[in-house]
Amino acid sequence: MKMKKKKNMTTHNFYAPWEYEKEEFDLDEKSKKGLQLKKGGCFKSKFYKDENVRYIYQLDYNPKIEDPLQYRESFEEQGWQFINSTFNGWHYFRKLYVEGMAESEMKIYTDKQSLYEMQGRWMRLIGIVTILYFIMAIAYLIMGVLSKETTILIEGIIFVVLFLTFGMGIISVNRRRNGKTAGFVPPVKPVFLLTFATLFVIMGMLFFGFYHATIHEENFTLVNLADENTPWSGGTFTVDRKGTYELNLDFSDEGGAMTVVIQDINGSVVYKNNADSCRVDGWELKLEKGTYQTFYTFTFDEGSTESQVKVDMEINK
Amino acid sequence: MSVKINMSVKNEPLTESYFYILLCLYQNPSHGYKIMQDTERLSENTVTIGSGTMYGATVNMLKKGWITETSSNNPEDKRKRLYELTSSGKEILEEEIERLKRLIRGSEIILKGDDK
Repeated sequence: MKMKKKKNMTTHNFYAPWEYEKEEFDLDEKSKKGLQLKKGGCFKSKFYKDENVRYIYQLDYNPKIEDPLQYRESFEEQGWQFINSTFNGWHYFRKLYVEGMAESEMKIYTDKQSLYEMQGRWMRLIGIVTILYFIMAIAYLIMGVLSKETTILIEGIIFVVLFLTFGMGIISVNRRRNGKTAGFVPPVKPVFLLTFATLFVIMGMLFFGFYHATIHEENFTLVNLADENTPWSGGTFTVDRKGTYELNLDFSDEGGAMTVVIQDINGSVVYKNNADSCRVDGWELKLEKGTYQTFYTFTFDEGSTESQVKVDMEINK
Repeated sequence: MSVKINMSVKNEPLTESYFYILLCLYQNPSHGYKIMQDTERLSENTVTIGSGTMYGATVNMLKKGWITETSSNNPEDKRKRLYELTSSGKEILEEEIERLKRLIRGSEIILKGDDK
């Protein structure tokens, strides 16, 4: 007999619970090519090379096994070799493939009731996760629209994609139970890779400050104002996190001069500018967490008949 | 997801797997593999009980109290896990057999054309 050196191989694959039959099929195919499962996992599986045997594989889901010995015996007495269990309750079994094996010998679930019981155990969990994704999607989309922040909107879209993928997964199981074809379900691996990559990029952008989000905007034009010495309140805005913010300001007062003031809730001035017209780009504003207010005071030269004030302000993260 | 069955209502018909497991235990205690083989023989090879199905069914029936675990007096079988029918399991099986007999009796009346 030829002694073959065993070579190990690790694959990183991810299957959704409703894709467990796909995983069984992939394992069968690998075994045909001489790659035998050593340890199965949710994110990582180990294989070894042995071209002299061929196995068929079955996955079981049962996170609550009271008597592991009784469990394993039930499988071993029918020629199923236990490989390993995952942390979350999936169990891998294999059986030596024999030419002309009966279909029923290749399955661990041989009636609908027991098969549905097994599927039901993970379907309940998937159902809860799907509902959570739905709630997150709605919450992020609403927050995104209200705050006009692109990052929150993108996160909302990610949760919409996850919700749709999981929802379609559940629908496909039910369709097959009713004797229909599974229908289209986005494959989970690329969906997960895409969502995690997007989240990673957003987090990185926020962390390194590449991303500029506008936290406050004021844009208005006023005509025919009376001479006013009492400050005219522009608006309020809230800073969630202490840090350096960027002020872009463009104002002009035809026929007079104006003062722009930004102050915090206690009345301390954090920014002040007095001019006929002025343009400020990228002024660094050091702001603490809290609420701020903008004020404008306008003065007009005597005899000026037409007055027009234009303000365009933007505060960025 | 499991539906609680109101005990005052008639028992649900048993699945073929449940029925054959109880049937195989009617005369003597038996173990999983023997139950599987007997089921194939008795059903004329139309019913097989896979490992997952067998495990689920025995765990459920142990919980319901239809069967219990027992050990064998036979030294050859000492290591094997034996299942024994309880009185409530026996009752369930007998009720089911009565129900099936009724089905057959009714069917035969129709098939023979004896219905008035």
